[in-house]
Amino acid sequence: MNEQEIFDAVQDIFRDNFDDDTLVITRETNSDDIEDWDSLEQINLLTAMEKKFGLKFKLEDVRGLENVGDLLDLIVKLK
Amino acid sequence: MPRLRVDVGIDPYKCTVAKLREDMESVPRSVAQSKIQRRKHVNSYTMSDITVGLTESFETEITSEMMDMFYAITADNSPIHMDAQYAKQRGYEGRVVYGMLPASLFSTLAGVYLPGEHCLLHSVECKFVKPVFIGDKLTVTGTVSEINDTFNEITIKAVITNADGKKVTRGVIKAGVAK
Repeated sequence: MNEQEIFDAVQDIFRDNFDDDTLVITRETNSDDIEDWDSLEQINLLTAMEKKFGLKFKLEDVRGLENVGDLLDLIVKLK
Repeated sequence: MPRLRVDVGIDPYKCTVAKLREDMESVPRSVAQSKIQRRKHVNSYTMSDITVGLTESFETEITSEMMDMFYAITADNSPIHMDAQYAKQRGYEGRVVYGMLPASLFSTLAGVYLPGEHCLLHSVECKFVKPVFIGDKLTVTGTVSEINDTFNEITIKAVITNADGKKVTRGVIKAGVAK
């Protein structure tokens, strides 16, 4: 899976999670940009990504995430 | 517009918050002690106790008093829940129990049984598979299907079956476990 494929899969997870098929994310997208992106949805997003990419996040990995770019970099690093 | 016949003691046409409060206060103690199993003991599973496949269940019977109380809380006076004749015209054997009434037992499942004390409910997704009627004896069962120890969250597959063993409600519960 290359970086574009990972990005597309992450975008699908965001769209599914927030029930919005038109949602477009960028590397700069953060929780200020998506109204419903709260701590509970953060867990839902991360657990969905664990399943999709066969990963296991550690709490210290995800604590410092500031935007989608950080998340994509983490996924690439762990894969 | 004609009024529908309503066969419960609470008049939905005079529904105000004050009236609902009055109605709730007038609910007799015998109603509050309805046929659900009530446990003084609350389970206290912690993350280290929980394994995939762990199962808990309890039984209850849906009574007309439960329907009255659910109405008193929600003010949902849809005739399919309130009027037996109307429900029969729609092809049901009697008043259809609010789908959210048995679904609300998922709160009990998580908060009392699995995991119990340390539960913080994150989400519940429900499917109302078959209608439930007053007098139905239900078994509520939950089985842990996933454990995420990074986020201290468990996923519980929940099912409610009637006395014939037919599934009436299915649910997926996500719950945080505080310890």
